[in-house]
Amino acid sequence: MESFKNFLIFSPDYQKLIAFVSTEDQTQNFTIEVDWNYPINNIKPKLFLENQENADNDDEGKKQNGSEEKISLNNIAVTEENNLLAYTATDKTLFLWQIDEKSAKIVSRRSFLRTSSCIRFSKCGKILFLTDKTGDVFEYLCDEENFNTRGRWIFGHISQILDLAVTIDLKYLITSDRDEKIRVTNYPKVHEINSYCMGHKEFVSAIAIISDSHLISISGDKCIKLWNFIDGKELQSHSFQFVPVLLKVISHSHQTGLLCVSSIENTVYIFKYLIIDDTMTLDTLAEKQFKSDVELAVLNNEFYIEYIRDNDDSLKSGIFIDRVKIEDKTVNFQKIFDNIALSETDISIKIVKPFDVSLLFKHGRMFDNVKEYNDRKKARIENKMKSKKAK
Amino acid sequence: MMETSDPPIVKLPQKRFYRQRAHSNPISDHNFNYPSHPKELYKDKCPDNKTWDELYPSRGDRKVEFADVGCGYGGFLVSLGETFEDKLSIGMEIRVKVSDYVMDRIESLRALHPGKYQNIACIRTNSMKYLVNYFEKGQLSKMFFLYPDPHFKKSKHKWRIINPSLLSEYAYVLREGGLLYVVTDVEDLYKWMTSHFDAHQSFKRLSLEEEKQDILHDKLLNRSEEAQKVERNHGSKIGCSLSAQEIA
Repeated sequence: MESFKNFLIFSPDYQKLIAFVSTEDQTQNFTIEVDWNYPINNIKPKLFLENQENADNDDEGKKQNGSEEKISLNNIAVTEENNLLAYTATDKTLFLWQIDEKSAKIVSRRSFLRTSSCIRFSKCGKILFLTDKTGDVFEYLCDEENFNTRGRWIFGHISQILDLAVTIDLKYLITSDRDEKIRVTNYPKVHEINSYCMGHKEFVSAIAIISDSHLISISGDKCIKLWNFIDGKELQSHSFQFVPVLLKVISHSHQTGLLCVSSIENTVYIFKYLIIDDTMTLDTLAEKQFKSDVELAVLNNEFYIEYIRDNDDSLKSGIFIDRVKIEDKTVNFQKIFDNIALSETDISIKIVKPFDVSLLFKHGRMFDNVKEYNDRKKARIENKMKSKKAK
Repeated sequence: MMETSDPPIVKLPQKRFYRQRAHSNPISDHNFNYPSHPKELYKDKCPDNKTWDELYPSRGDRKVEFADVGCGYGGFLVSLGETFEDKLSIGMEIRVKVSDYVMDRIESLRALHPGKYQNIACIRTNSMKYLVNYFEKGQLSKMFFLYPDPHFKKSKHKWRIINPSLLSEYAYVLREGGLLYVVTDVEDLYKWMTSHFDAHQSFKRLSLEEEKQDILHDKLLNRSEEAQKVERNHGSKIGCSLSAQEIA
C-alpha cells in the first residue's frame, strides 16, 4: 500500500483492480483495471556488462507460465513529485502509470530479469530502483523521454535483497539482505561501496532513513538498530519480544518521531522514538492484534493499516483500513474504510507479503555438515590408535 | 627422575584422507559460523569462531593483510607465509575436508618448525558472502584468486568469484593501491575476468612490466597444488597473473 496526495493506493486482489481510497472524502474513491494486454517492452536489462550476451535469455526457451498460475501484481511504488505509480508483476514486467486525483493512465510496461523483491522511487520521482530475489539492483528511468528505456544493472548482493532506501539527496542507496547485511552504496558511482552496517544476526527485513546520517533497521534477530550509515557504525540496539517484518517511520524532527512495526504474527506496534546524542529511546504507545496479514502506509504524517479480516467477532472478510490517530500519547485505531461488498464478488481478496519471513531464517535450521565430518574424523583417528595399540 | 613418555610424533596430514570434489555451491546456506561484525574477532572470545589471536598466536597488534581466497590444500598459502614472514596471511576455503586439511597442515608445520608458520591460518567460510564479516574497509593489501572455479554454464556465471558485484566488495576490503591477483588456465574464464576488470572503475590492470617486477610473479604460477597439477597434465597457464590495483 502506498500514498499519493490524500489517497491510499493498493490492490485488493493483486490481479484485476487497483484502488484509490481517499482519506478525506470517500466519494472521491476510484478504481482502475489492470490492462494485462498492454504490450510488453521485452528488451530486458543486461546483467553485468552491457556488451556481454545476456545469460538469462535461457528463460525464453523454457515453456511460458501455464494457465494454472495467474500472473499477479507484486511490489508497488508511488512518487508524488512526478505523479507516477509503479507495480511489478509476477510475469517480470514493470507497469508505470501517470496518476492524478481522478484517474490513472498507463505509460509503459518494461521487462526485468527475475522476480522483484522491492521497488523504490528517488525523491524526484525520475528514477525507479528495482531489486530482485537473486540480489541484483536495477535502475529504470522514469522521466517523460525515458518511460520505455530499458533497465540498467547497477550493483548486486550475493543474497536476496529485502529492502532498499534512497537518501533524499540521492547520494546513497541503502540495501538490506538475507545475509544480515546492510550495504551503503554511492550514487551515481555505484561501483563504490561507502560502508556496511554490520551487526544483525538474521535477515534484515526493513530499513528506514531518518536523517542525513541516521538509519533504522529491523531484523529476524528481533532487534531494531540505529546506525550512522555514513560511517557504518551501530549506535543503538533494542530487542523486541517478536519478529518484526514491516516498518514505517514518521519523522517529526531530526531527533524524534514515530515508528509503526508489524510482527510476524500480525500485531502492529506504535512507538515513539527519541534520539539524543546517538542514543535512541523507544516508548511503546500502542499495540493491536490483527486477524490477517497487514499492509502499512504513511500519509500526511499518519499511519494507515490495511487488513482483510475484520477485527470484530464476525471475522468477515473484505478490505479494511484503519487510521492510527495519535494525540499526545493516546492512540486510537479508527476504521476509515470498510468494503465487505468486495468479498462477495468474484475478486479474491488478498494481501501479498513481499517475502515469506519463515523461509528466511538461517540459524537453527541448517544441516550441520561440519559436525558430521568432525565426528567421522574423530572415529577414524580413534580406530587408527586402537589398531596401533593392538600391534 | 620422572618417567616421560615418548612425545607424539608430529606428521604432516595426508591428503588422501581429505579428498573432496572440487565444486561447492556458494549460494546455498551450508553451515557457517561467521562473526556478525569484523571487530568481534578482536575480542578475547568469540562464540563459534576462532579469534584472530587464536588463529595467529603471535599476532600482537597486526591485522591480516593478505587473503588467499579459495586456498585449496594450502600450497600457495604456505609459500606466501614463507615469503612474507612479518605479514599475516589467511586462507579461506569453503570445502569442509579441504579447509580441515589446511588447518591440520598448519598445525603440523608449526609443531615441526617451532616459531615458524605462526603467520598463516585457514578458515572455512564462503568468501563470496562473508568477506566483509571478517575484514574492515581497506584492511587488505593483497588478495589472491588462484585457479578459481570456472562455472562453465552461462546460468552459473553469477557464481564466478570475479564478477562486477564482487569486484566492488573486493575494492572495499582492499586498501587504496592494494593488489588483486588472479591465475587461471581456462581461456574463457581469463577473457571473462579481464573484461570485468577493465570495466570496473575501482581497478586498474597492471602492465606486464609491473607484473614481472612483483616478487610473487613466479610463485603464483608454480606454488599452488593446482598449478602443479596443471603442469603435470601439460595444461597451459594462461595470462600469468592478472594483477589489478585498487584505485580510489
